[in-house]
Amino acid sequence: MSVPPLIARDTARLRQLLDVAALRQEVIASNIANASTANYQRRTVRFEDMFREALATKGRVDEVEPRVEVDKTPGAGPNQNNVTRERELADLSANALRYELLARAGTVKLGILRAAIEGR
Amino acid sequence: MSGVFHGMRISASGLQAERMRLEVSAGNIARSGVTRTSDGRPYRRQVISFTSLLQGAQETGGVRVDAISSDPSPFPRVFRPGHPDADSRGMLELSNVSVPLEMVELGAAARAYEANLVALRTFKELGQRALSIGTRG
Repeated sequence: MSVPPLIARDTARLRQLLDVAALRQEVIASNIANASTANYQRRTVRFEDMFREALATKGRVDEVEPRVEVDKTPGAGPNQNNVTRERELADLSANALRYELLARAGTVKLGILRAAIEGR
Repeated sequence: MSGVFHGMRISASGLQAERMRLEVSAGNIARSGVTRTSDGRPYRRQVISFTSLLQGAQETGGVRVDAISSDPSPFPRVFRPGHPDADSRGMLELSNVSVPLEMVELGAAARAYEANLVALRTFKELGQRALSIGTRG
């Protein structure tokens, strides 16, 4: 017997969202590491708006890929660097919380499956 | 995307670079009173510059120390007759290290170091969280 399609799809979706959170974490870490590098421009991950659009237009949600974009807003300092550490650290915490939420959702989902298998 | 270890290396590179910046600054402060080095001139302030490890279309990457170079600004001159390194007119050249400036640099580097440390810790937490998906309790 195969895994019910609903569960399989949800698991794939969770995986997709976890991957985006992991990528975003990496991008934020790059920004922080390069906060003192001349001419570095901060990177951001674009995903949610494209995901929402795919959901609204009933497009292929699974095929929405996160995109890393360069933030071109001019920096306040003498060089082109536009990283603000406070902002990156705030984004870092928010992203870690989102990751935690997704991980918990995954645990709950697997718990339901396990309960079904064990017949409780 | 190459996973949690790549991310940790990014933060580690930031830690390494910022520590180097701290060391350069501390070295400048320690030598700020040196009026004669091996070339006979006062100590020249050292400045550090960073470069990103991001190449081409690569999306994420760390940082490395690009160069540690000498600050070409002129040595301040003071009248100090009797000083062993003063010239015949009693003028003495001092090092071009500005201690207050180095203190600011030290503070900035320490904060930057901490920020990278926070990022590194978050990678560790996310990794542990990923391992615990599906475990009971």
